[in-house]
Amino acid sequence: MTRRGALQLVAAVSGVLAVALVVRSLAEGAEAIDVRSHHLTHAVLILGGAAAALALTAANRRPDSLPEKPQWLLPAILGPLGGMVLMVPTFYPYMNAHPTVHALSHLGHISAGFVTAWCGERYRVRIGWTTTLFLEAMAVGAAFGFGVTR
Amino acid sequence: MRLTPELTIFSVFLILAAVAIGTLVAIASAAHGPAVEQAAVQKSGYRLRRVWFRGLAISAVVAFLLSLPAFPYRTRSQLASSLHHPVTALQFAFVIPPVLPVDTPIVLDVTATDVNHGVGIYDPDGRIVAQVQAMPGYTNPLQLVFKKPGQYLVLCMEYCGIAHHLMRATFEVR
Amino acid sequence: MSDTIETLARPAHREVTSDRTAKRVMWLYIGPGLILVGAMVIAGLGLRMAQGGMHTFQPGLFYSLMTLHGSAMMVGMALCGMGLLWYLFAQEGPLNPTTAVVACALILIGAVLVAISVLVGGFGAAWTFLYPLPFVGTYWPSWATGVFLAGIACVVLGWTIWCLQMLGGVLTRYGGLRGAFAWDLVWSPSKFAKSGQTPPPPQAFAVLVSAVDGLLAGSAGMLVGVALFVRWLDPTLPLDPLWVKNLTYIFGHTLANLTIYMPLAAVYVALPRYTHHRHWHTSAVLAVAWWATLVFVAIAYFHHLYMDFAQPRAVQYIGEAASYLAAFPPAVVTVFGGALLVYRSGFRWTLGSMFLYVGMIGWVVGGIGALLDVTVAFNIYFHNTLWVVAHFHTYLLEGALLFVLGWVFHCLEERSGIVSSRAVRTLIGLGVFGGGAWLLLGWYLAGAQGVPRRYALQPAPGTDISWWASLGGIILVVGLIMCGIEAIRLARRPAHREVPAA
Repeated sequence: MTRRGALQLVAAVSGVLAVALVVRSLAEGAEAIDVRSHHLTHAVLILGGAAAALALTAANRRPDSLPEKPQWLLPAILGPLGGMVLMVPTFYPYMNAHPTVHALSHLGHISAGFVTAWCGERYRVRIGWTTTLFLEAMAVGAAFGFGVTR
Repeated sequence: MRLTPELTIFSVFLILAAVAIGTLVAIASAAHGPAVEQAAVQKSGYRLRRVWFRGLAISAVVAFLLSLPAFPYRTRSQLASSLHHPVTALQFAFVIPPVLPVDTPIVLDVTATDVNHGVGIYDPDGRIVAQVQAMPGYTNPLQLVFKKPGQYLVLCMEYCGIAHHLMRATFEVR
Repeated sequence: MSDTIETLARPAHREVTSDRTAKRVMWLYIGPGLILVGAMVIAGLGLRMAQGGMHTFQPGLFYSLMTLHGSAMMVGMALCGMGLLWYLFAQEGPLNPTTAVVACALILIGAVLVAISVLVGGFGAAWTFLYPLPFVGTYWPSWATGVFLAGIACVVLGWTIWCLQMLGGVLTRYGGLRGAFAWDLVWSPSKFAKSGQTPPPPQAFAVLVSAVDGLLAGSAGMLVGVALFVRWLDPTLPLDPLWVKNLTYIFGHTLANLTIYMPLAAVYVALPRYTHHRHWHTSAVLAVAWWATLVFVAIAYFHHLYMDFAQPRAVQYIGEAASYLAAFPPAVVTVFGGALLVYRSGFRWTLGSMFLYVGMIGWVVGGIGALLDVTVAFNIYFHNTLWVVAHFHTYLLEGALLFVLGWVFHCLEERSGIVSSRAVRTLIGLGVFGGGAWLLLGWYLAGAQGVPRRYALQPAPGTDISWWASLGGIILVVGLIMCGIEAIRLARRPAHREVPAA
């Protein structure tokens, strides 16, 4: 298998796994949400979306991706912000009562991860990794105090 | 003015600062005038740097080790043997026992009800002897022994709002 | 990394941003940065004089102004460092000015929002806005909290954009992390030398470390910002105060710390220009020093939570160790290297070079004060006393700010081809260094006697010391005003064209 093919496979697998997680949570239906572990689930979903984007950009990398393309930077920054907004615990009781909306919000997390990584990488090579780590750090960090007290 | 531990540290600071300023000013005064090749200066400079690095490293390790016994953090078992007294900070007052014992190890269980505060304890001579933060939802155990009888003052050590500077309490040690 | 990328990362002829564009971007940052700093110096002096009883501020006004002083000073100093690094790196590799303008605009919008929140709304939770303070028992309206948080969010966004741009630039220019960190220079120096490669210049390490640690600070800032903003909209949302405090200081401490490391690049670039044929090159030691800085700046923030006994115990020890270790790169490499560079170099003393050199002295002296404070045994006496205020003012006012002023005067001297007279240098030196030292000494002395910081009215002996220290502050301000007049005088001189060497 070529490097390109392998990377495309990685992208597909990460995307499929992330979506499978969403479907699984939908099938399980309404359950009481533990905020801390749920933040971590979101971190995994985000990682799935980001991994797919990173593998895709790596497979399609062209030399012209070297100069800066500022138009991609704003979405690469707003991606993490959007990801965080979807993690607001205030919405959790509503999500708990509406599994479909909940599943949609999980798709939102995957998209936030994807947008963050994809746009970052389009802005400039290697920046997709950076923005991914930036968002992941926030998503994991949230588990220790955002809507959570000791 | 008595030479308290804090003023000793202040004197140490002044001496170290004077040495640093003196050295760098001396180098500056040797900066002007006929230039010497960079390589010539570097040779002895790098030798000096090795000595300086080693000296600093040894000092840092020694300072770190010497400072360890003074760390104020205690394990549960270390705290168990002392008598505990609750202390609560709130905008803009402290709830603290009016009388505490002299020469006895005690633990102040410090917490806050509204925002972050700090509990700074000043002895009858106005010297700060201990402090700890007061955080809502957490209890910080401060172990201490009052060596001197008399009236102690508590000041707030974390900015907490408009009357932060007025937030104080007193207690008696006997 | 594929070969194509590696080759493209080092183009045969180096493409750089034009000097004219780079200078414009630099002044776009440094201009407003210095205006903010100047205004906040005046505000700070007003606060100090009020503490000394020279005039009266109502406590609400005092704490609001204190909040503005802290926040805007951080933003101002950060802007200066950002502009400087942007300019210096633009000479190494291409940077898109649009990105820089967007980042700068966001930060300035943030500064305006913070100013509105404080000056109109009376927000006064200090720059640390330590949860739950911005929401509980406030003396300002709730909207002011929201506007303040929105302002901080804009600053964080702008800062993050700048960090991403600089990181992208460094990684592309030097061939990824490995090249940017000069990994091969350190681990296989002979192979590196044989390959004919050159390591990144010293200032590129300042860019790299500021960007990486800056992104860490940015992520913490964005997380805590979102959390507090949501808490503002939804008061029932529980947040863990200890978690918020950790994030606040990862953000605040790291950003404040970086405002010192960013303008340091000016010393690397400008100081050798005042010597006779001396250079500041990247050695393995310099690279390792910056690796250490990267790590220790990121974890030294733990010392802000020494008095929170609920913190995991291990991090308190790490905090002390990391804070000690953070002093090594400046002490052993940068300041030592700077002194060695200057020593018997046929050094030319001008206003620019004087500021750069004295800035190193201020940095060292502030560092000594900091080292004493980060020792837990002493922190029991010094935590949140004026000692803290003393040490950080030493290396911000008499360190980082002098590096920035040194760079500004270096640019002005280079452009106009003239230097200030000895008399002007002496007068400004007396004002800025003499007045500054006097002002700083007051904080150290009061801190050593346990006077708490952030007090509108101080317990004895705070008030008397503040009164005396304010006199030093006035002298300092006079010195800075003379500095400003001299800068304008130099800037108004026609540009000098150097006669090209035959």
